[in-house]
Amino acid sequence: MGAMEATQRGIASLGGSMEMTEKEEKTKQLAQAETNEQLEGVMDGANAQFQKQMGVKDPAKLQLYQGESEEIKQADEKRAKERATQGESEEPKVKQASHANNKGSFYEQGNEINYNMSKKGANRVENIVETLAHENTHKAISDTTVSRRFINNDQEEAVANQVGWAAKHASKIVQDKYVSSSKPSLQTTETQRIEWNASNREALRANNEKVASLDPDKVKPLFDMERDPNIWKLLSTPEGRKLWRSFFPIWGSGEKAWEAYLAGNYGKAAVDTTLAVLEALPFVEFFTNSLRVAKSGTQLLEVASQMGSVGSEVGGFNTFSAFKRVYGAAGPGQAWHHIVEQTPGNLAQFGNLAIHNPANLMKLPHGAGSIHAMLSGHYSSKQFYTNGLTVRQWLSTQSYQQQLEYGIQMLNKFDSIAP
Amino acid sequence: MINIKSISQALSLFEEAAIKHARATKQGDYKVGNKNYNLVMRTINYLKEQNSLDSLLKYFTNDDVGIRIAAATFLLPKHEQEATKVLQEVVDSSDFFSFIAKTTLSEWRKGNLKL
Repeated sequence: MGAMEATQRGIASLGGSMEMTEKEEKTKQLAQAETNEQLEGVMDGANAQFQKQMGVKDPAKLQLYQGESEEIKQADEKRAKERATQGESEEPKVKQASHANNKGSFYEQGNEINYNMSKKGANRVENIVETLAHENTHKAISDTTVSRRFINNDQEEAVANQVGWAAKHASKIVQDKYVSSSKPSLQTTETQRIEWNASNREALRANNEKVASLDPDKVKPLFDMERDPNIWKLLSTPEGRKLWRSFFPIWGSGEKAWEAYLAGNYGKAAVDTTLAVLEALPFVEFFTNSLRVAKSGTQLLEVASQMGSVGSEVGGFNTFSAFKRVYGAAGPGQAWHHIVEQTPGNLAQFGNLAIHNPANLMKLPHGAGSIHAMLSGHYSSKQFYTNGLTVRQWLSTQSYQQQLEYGIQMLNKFDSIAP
Repeated sequence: MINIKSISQALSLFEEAAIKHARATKQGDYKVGNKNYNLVMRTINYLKEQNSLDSLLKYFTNDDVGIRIAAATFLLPKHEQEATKVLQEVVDSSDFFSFIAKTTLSEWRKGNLKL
């Protein structure tokens, strides 16, 4: 496989996931692929779906561009002038795949996809995918008010970072697996027009032959332990694999929301964004748990180090005071609310970093009759499903994720009736 | 403390306490809520002692969602199908109590409810 095909596959893993989420079976196939062939088959399907969704009419003639190009800029201007001349809308028929500085665009008329990443000097496919995933998540979350009930700016950034990180590493796996025997031809110095040609296919065939000649025990695992021993050591465990699979849905909902937004379907965008945010919750659990585990196990300390950039965004604080020193006071009439409460039991069970975590804290109106007061009161109440315990005592027996979901649902309920 | 002497008195107390418990839940007023939670539990225990829990069946169509949820919850063991239907209707509504009903059903299906 050549670099272009790898690019396609990397992007497909992001865009195609929209369809995968709609078709649960395909998501499972991707998550459960344990051989190169299985992964390749699923990715090919995702790629085809992504191209179809983007409106590619003739996949065989699809042309990919990468890098900043005067040629492309001029072509953009030319197209705009042509449309203006023809009396068409100034709005180009382009599907933007990211924000202005790092955009990937599909030109319907030219049957071309352009990945323009020079502003960051990012030229590797995983960086493109990371940026797309990161920016799409921001777009999906910030374009609706619904998600604001669940997530603040810092949490949004954390979730976007997590999605971008996961997308980047998913793409890296694909690249590293498939591109090893071919020479990537993407360059930063000039725009290269890359066609899906015979040499790419030859590289893929040679790579497959090489893989087939290896000891099956060495090629079966999806994750390459030798290449990236720290992160993937964790993700190769059964628990890690389960968490890894939980990465996929948010791409789907985030992408769906974004596509719906582009199509002007703001209602659908809102719904999908809410789903995306809710589906992001496993990310929070994954990272907070990972850091907690890493803290207690010398073998996994490297994981925390490896995840440093992510951890600085997602990682919590040892005390609530330390959190407030960074994030500040909630402000007049407001209070910081721990969604998963900072009870001694929760702190002991989940660790300070998970509880005093930006992903677990949000500002709420405070005072008598406020949402904060109603929520706190609810946690002290007895309900018919708590077996004589208070809600707080009942929740203490449940996982971080369950407590988080319960807290968000009740928050939403009180928010819906708050004066 | 009220001494329950008859089934009709128990049902009257049940109605009043279930309504107040639901109202307090909606307001986040745990003091009033827990007081009425205890009252509901006393009426339930009395009805069980009198082998008259089925007298709560008439509340499945009550106008008050708090009464419907309370009656359906405690009749889950004996009348699972009908009680589940009552709770599911609340789950499917946009009512404040939809999540409460959903959690009740979820805990019941997990076998966690001690009723």
